[in-house]
Amino acid sequence: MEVSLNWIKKYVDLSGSTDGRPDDDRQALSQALTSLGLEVEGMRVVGGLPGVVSAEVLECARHPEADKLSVCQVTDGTGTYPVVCGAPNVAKGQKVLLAKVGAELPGRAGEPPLKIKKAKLRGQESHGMICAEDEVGLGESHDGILVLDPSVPVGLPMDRIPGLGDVVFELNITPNRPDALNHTGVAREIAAKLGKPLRYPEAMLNEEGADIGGLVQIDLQDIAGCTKYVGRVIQGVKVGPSPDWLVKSLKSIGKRSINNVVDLTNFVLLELGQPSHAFDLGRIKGRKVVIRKGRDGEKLVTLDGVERKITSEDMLIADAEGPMVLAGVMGGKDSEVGPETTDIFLEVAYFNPATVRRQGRRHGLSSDSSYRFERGVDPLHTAWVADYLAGLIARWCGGKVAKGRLEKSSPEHPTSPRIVYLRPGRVNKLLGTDLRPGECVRRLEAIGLKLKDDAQARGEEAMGFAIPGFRGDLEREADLIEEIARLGDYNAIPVVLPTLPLVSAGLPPGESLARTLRHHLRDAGLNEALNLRFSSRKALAKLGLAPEDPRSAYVPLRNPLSEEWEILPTTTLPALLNAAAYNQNNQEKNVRLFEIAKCFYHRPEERTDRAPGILEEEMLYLVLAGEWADRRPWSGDPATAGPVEFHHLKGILENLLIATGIKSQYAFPGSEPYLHPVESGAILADLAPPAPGTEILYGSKRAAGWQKQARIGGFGILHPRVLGGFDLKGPVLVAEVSLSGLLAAVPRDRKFKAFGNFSAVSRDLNLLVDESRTHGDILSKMPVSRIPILQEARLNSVYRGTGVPAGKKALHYSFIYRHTEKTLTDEEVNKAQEKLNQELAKDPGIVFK
Amino acid sequence: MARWAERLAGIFPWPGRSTVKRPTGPESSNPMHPIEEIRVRLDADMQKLETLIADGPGAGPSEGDKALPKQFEDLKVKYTGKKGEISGLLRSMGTLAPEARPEFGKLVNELRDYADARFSALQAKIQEVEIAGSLSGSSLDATLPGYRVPAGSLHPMTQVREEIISFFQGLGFEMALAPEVDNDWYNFEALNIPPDHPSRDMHDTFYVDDKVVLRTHTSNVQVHYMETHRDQPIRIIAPGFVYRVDNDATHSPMFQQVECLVVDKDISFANLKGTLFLWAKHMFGTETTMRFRPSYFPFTEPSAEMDVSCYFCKGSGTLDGAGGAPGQPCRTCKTTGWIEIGGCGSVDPNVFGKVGWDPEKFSGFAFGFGIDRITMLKYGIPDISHLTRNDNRFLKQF
Repeated sequence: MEVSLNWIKKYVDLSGSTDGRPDDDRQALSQALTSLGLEVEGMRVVGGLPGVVSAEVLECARHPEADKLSVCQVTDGTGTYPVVCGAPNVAKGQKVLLAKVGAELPGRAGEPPLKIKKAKLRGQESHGMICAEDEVGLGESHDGILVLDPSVPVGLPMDRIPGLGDVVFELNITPNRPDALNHTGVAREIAAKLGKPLRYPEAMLNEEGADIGGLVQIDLQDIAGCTKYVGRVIQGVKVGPSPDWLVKSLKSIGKRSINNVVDLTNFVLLELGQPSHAFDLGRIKGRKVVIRKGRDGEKLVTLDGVERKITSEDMLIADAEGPMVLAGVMGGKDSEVGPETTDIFLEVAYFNPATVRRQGRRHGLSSDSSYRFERGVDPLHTAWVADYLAGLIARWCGGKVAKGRLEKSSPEHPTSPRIVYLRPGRVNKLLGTDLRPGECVRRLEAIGLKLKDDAQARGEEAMGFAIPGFRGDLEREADLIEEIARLGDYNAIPVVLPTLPLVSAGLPPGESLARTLRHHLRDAGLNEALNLRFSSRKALAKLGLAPEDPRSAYVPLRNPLSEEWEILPTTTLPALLNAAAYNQNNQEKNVRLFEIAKCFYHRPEERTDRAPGILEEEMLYLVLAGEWADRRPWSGDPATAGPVEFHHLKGILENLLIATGIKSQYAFPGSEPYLHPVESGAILADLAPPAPGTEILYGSKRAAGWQKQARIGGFGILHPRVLGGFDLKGPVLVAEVSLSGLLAAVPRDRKFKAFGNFSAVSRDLNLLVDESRTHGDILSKMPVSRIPILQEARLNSVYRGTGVPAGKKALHYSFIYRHTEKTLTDEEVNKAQEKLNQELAKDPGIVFK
Repeated sequence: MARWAERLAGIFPWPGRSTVKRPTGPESSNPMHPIEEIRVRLDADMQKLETLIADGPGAGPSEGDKALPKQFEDLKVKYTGKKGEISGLLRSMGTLAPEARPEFGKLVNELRDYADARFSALQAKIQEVEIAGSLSGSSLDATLPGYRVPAGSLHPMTQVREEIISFFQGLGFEMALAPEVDNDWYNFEALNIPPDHPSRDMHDTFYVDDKVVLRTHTSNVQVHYMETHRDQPIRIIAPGFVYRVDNDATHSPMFQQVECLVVDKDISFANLKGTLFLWAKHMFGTETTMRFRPSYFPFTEPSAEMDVSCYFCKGSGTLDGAGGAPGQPCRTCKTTGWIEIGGCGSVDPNVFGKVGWDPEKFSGFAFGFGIDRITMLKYGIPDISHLTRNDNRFLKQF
């Protein structure tokens, strides 16, 4: 909201000084407002021109060569300048506006800007210009120079000269402070801060017209939506242009003048915060004003020219025939005050904040009125404002105020100030201050609260305060304590560390695991990504998930920002693949991203009064593309570079599982529809019973006991169809792992495993197998667990080429034997190896080389 | 060696054949004892080799250097070899009177130890010369880039988040979490934000349906935690993502906040200031000052906004003292000298009421700030969209 400093000065005297600075010091005022909680977001100087200052005419003599010109000596306090002036009214001793050399004036209407330079006018030096109103944008007059009040000091920049310049503060008023949404309200705060009185306007009312009862009737039907409705009538009004002061006041904060009546209602709204509405009485059919609910099918063309469909939820001001106003929000075209209007029905009301708010939202409308009604206007002030405004209209628009006012109200409407009790001890306990009760009272009374006499009313050290109607937000002791803190400056409250018992503050298990994974993957050379948690049906569809897949149960947003962000993600893969494509398009070919992201699954069956029926799961994603290693960029060694392969990703996952202590188990190939049907795998793990609240995405839901070989993730080469869908250049490798799955698989404790210091013995074996046989398959034929001294069966190479027939491959294995307590003899090792060989030999597909 | 002469005198004169001529010199006309004679000769030979070495390495690989190891070996064999002169002395022991033999043997062994020590010292020197020679011939281009394992990175927000959590963990704050998609009750109603209340305008909310929203702040954790930890002291830190319908250079529809809640029997607003000040000094430096401005959050009373002095310009608004040109305006704080950090306040009694706590018995404070914002400040990131665009050129910097 914008407030004008000139306007504020009508209600509080800022001429004095505090702290050695004038009270209208703009910076100091701005800081004071912010420290009061009325945050100044911007400050705009109005009516100033750089280089234009107040000055005094010291000498004024006729130009020796031109009758109509004067040669003046003008001072701005720092220097004295010769100025040639053509105005007839210039005279010695005047205070004038001087445009100094270098100043740039906007120029009169239709003329280019005027830059002031040193000049010679008919032989006389002129170092500046004494300005007329129109030359500095203050008005139309060019009758002569603008003569300032003699009290104006010289050297003031134009915007600081009283009556010429102004400062507009842009305030951010929080929703709890409707009282500060107007000039008297802001002035009240400033006055309280400076310890000065507030000069509140007074109503001046002469009821000279007919008796109102014979002119119009009010029927308040919707007493829930409108708890108080006051009407006044002014007869014989002349609707026309507003007086100058009114136009200027509105213009100062950027409001357009419409006509004198409408301008006055707007003025009062901006002055007091109370909206009002002026009707053309002649257009009120049946001379009956009805405050009622709308009826389905009714229509109303509002002032903005839009035809509104009225529903039974709306609250209307209607006449005998139909709707006139969308109550509290916007008036209708038909009852608008226009040039031909003579009699005015004036409405001042208290509308229920929630009703107005719903009404505005329903019609997508917000107005100065609805903004204030939905925050709450002063309920005790309604009739007074009607009197005040009627008086203003009669004064400035002519006409006579009809005798009496019409008032209807709900029994619920407050008629006297609320009393709120305050215990001074509580103030200090909650703020950590040491304030005396008297100081608390002083601060609260400065903003209009009144200490009641019944100090002992509650049988304790409580003080009762009468809360003015404009402070509807002050309902409880805590609210008063905040006011005391606020008015005394938060920065004056001591800085004290709390004294609390020592506790062991751990991290939740999921957080610890996520940290381990993040740090491990960082060290493994991956870059952590972060995606917005929004996705789209289109992006999700690219993965080709089955309808029964839990990731197909997405949650749509009711008000998404865009089509790309219309649902909550059930997987972050589409976002990461988009990021990979974005990087590829930016010549960043080597993509190594990981992300631990929350995904959201629709679980309507779990919905309760409080639970939203949405499962939130953290998932780990890896995306690799481009070359895996660029570690020897200049060595020319081909072995160190090349496109990322399946086994790079598998190696990362294997190390990751080792880092968490999880024994890796896999199933090949994987079954994710977005992965290569062959070059993919699933990660399996033995899962502990899930802790409350955890659920394993890939396993069966909420397994009761240990679950063996549950799927907790998938990985592999991205399916070419998906690759194309995301405009990626391949190969791209991805992995998706459930964090709660990992968490349930992490062993509770890790134990040291003894190793012997006795030397190891190895035996090598070359096996010739069909190309279709896998390492895992051959390994499964080896009786590894039945040979205790066999420590490791290590695959050394997979060879195809010379000596190996086509369609076959040679697998070279090394078997490492070691006993923890003794040195093995050759015989023992040979015996063990023989046992292994015999087992392998049972498979006719395995040939020993 | 010093007392050799005396000890040798004890077994002198040499009883057997004496083929050794005593060195002639002004000091002595006495013939030299053969043990003494070998020692003197050994010293002289060693001296010669050492001189060669001293000339050696600096002069580069000369002929003399190359010959050194051979000369050394020859000399070593000559004196200490199996058929060397020292062994020869022992073999001649039979010619001595039996009573002189132990002393003679001892002396010869001392001579052998002496010779061994000299030779191993010389050998170390020769090796050093050899190593130095081989090293100086290297043609390694040390300026080539190092072989590196691919350098990974943690997202800058992760780093700031972990730093904040660690700090509060150190103060005994337990980390707590709450859902990101939540019931209206937790995000709004229990936090004293009723339906159709204008304070909802402060939250541009994403809705799933009438009752389910994407949380607009981490404050929902207050309700979840107080409902499940009734009537006990609370000290929690709760980071997490929150959502607002907003998207420009400084606003993202998803951003990360961190929330703190402290509840106990005697918690005051002064305690809030004390805790925040401690954190601000940790995060932004010990010179940091702070200020509080009244604000409004329905779930705190009093409510405040906290600003800290700009740590780029030290609160001056210009970069004079921070390496900038005189009068250069500080863009971080837009010359105000202050940076807005977040909202805070004492727990509103209505919130205690909603979760079934007695506000007469308990009081508390809460604060929340944006991790995105602190991350952007800390690293000077100009546009919030960098944080979620996942550009390699961005991610690799952290």
